[in-house]
Amino acid sequence: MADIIVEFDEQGNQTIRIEKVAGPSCEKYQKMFGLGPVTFAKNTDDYYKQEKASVAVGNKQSLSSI
Amino acid sequence: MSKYHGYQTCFSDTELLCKALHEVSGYKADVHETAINLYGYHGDVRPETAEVVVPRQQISSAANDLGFKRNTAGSYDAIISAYDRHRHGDEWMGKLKMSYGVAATYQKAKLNGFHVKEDQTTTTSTGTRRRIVLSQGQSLL
Repeated sequence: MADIIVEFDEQGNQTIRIEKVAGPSCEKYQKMFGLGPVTFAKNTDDYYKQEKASVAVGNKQSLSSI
Repeated sequence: MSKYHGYQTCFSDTELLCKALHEVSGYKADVHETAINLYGYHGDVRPETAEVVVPRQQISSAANDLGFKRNTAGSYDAIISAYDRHRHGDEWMGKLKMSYGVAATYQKAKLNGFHVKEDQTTTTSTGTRRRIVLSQGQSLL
């Protein structure tokens, strides 16, 4: 009977502690309740270049389909 | 014209994201199956697109649309204009992350047979902390 302690700090970052259980089950519960990498990182300029390129391709396709 | 920037987030569940947006800022986001273009505050169409959109009128009379765009990893990138960063900055995103995370924790607990034993909110000088204790099996309460 596991106890899971989920905590959020002031920035909304999550930490998980598992009690009353050991071994592989801990990992299972971490995955079950984990939100994955909790980030708020600004994307790079490459991201915007790719975005712009995909928009340009999309425009081209829609024009050629007219 | 205020440039849009993309920010990686941990949000992957559309419903929970919409709930968090409503809880934190009262926004009612529009959800689209395919990403649509965002609009600037002049009503000008922007090249940036998003599946989850908070129309600018809900934010302020001088705001740009706020968007969340699905990335290849399956989570959403927040698309926020530089002009609106003062209201949708790190502090706001922290509140959104907590609201989303708490809702996700409750949802996963229910799905996996856990009950909430304790849910404690602590206010500090820098914000709010939340501690949720889940226990497996039947609740004795």
